[in-house]
Amino acid sequence: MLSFVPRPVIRVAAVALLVYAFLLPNLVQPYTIRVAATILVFTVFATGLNLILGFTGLLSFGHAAMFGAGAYISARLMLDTGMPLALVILVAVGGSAVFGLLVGLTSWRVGGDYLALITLGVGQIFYLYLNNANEVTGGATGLPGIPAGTFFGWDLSSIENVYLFILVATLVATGFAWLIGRSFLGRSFLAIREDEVIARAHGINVPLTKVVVFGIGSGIAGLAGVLQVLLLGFVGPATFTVDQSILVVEIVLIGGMATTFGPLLGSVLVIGSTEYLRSLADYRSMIFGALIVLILLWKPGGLVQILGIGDTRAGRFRSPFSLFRRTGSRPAAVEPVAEPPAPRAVPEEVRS
Amino acid sequence: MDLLQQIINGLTIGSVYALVAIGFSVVYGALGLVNFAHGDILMAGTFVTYGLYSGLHVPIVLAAVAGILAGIVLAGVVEEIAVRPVLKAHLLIPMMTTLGMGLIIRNVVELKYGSGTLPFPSFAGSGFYTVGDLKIAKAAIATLLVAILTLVVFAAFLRYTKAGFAIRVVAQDMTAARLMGVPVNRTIMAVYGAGGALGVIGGLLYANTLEVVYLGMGFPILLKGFAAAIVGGIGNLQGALLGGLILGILEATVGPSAGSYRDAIAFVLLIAILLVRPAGLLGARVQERV
Repeated sequence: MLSFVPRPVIRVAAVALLVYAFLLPNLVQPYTIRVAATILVFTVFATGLNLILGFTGLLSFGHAAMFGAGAYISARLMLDTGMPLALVILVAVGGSAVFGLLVGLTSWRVGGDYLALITLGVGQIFYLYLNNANEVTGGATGLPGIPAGTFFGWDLSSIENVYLFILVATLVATGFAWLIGRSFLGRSFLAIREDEVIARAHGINVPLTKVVVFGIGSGIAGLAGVLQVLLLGFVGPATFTVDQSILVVEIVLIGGMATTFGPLLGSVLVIGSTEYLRSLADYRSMIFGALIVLILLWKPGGLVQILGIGDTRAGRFRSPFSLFRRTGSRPAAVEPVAEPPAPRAVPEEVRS
Repeated sequence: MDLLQQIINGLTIGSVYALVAIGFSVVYGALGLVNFAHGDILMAGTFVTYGLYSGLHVPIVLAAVAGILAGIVLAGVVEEIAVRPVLKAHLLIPMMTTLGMGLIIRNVVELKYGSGTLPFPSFAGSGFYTVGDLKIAKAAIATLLVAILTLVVFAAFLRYTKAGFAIRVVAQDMTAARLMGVPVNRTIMAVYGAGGALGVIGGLLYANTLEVVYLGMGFPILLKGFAAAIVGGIGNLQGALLGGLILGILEATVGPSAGSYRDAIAFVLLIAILLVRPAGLLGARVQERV
């Protein structure tokens, strides 16, 4: 859509947008700042899932549990100890990463579709735990009145400062994901997504890489959880339901899988429309559902591909969507018989 | 006697899980794809029956048939719109499109019926049969009978009809099936239709057992059906049956002592099975094809 715009213009616009984002607290109402901060929190959350779902092609439907782990760990620490915020963030991110590693371990023996179910189950069990372990999590009422922190002397009690902190954290998380995407690790993720057997044949330790991506993606989601606690000053189980996990899957799919800016664009659209188009609230999941179907049928790169802001130059790493088709686009040397693809391993037969 | 009572309760709900699991398994076995709209399709079909039966006072048998037909049509539509065009794309894509279709279906039902819990009059009537010390609800007997009948009919369909044979052939090797002149596209549609029908029957029996229908009902049934399918060995119909019954009995016997963690039983069982025997109890060892 924007492909006719020269690249330098897009770059300048991006920088201008970033400057605007930093100046936002001085320009708009507190309500708008709050919405913007929520969008950024979900951007970080979706960035974590994007590594798992978009890059590696693993189905995680329990990502709200990782988000929640970060949120509850940080809330507990901030309520019970006088730990500095930087340390709280480290512990919370580390804690959710370890949680993610444990969940990821189940992928060692089983394939991707089973993982969808396991993660759903983990999400559900986590939600039950939040509601029932009253002493730790406050049960259904949650943990209110979490004190505002200070980050190396930066007072985070006003919404403006919290917003700026979240903005910086979002930039860090996005930059981190971008770096990973360009690294050997990120390429291994994509290779696993395209074909596990071929990835293994190229010397990638497939099971280990899957566990690692779960850890990283969960750590980033845990960071989003901390940010949400800072933003709301409260945690409760209602924010960590399965619906939330599905919501973040929607964000990743709509924004664009395996892209740097997909999570941002997706959460601007999904969260922004939730906040500002309340008249459409009744039709919301229908609209997003239709959007997912349309995007995946025609533009699997999501909004990033539709807007044409991804780097799609040939030969560059950042064009995963030509890889997304099983037939046709692979070089003939790799797959001499182009048609038809062998179906994935299925059990021998459906016995009656 | 108490244990026996609970086992009977478990068999009842387990047979419902088994139906859903088989509906799920038949799609997975044929295409290797998880149909994430399955839960929403069965919920929508159940609501069609509810609307006709409670709202328009259509006789229950007709209403149930209409609900099942609605499930078949919906599953066919999902297949036609969301799966067929991307059948050759990365596996992730057809799964995520079914998720999107599920969201749409659920939203449509929500607009019509809202998100509250609605009473679903049990079509077997209330009341108990007493056998010795056992009290068996009429609804439970109806559920068991319908579930067993459905399973037998479906097994016969797969085994003795041409369409059933085509489904088995496509599941074994889609390419070879196409070369042998099996109408693969039509067969895939039949697979989804069959899955939808089994799902709605399961949904109706679930509603009949609990005497409620609600918007979110597709989700727990789907999860447990999915779990049952995997526990038994996905793609394997006897396995799905076994998995459903095991799950139901476990929930009924261990459930009361698990308290509010009752819903976690399915997942603990599932994770344990996957770690010990990833192919499921009756599943064949999955071969990797390069």
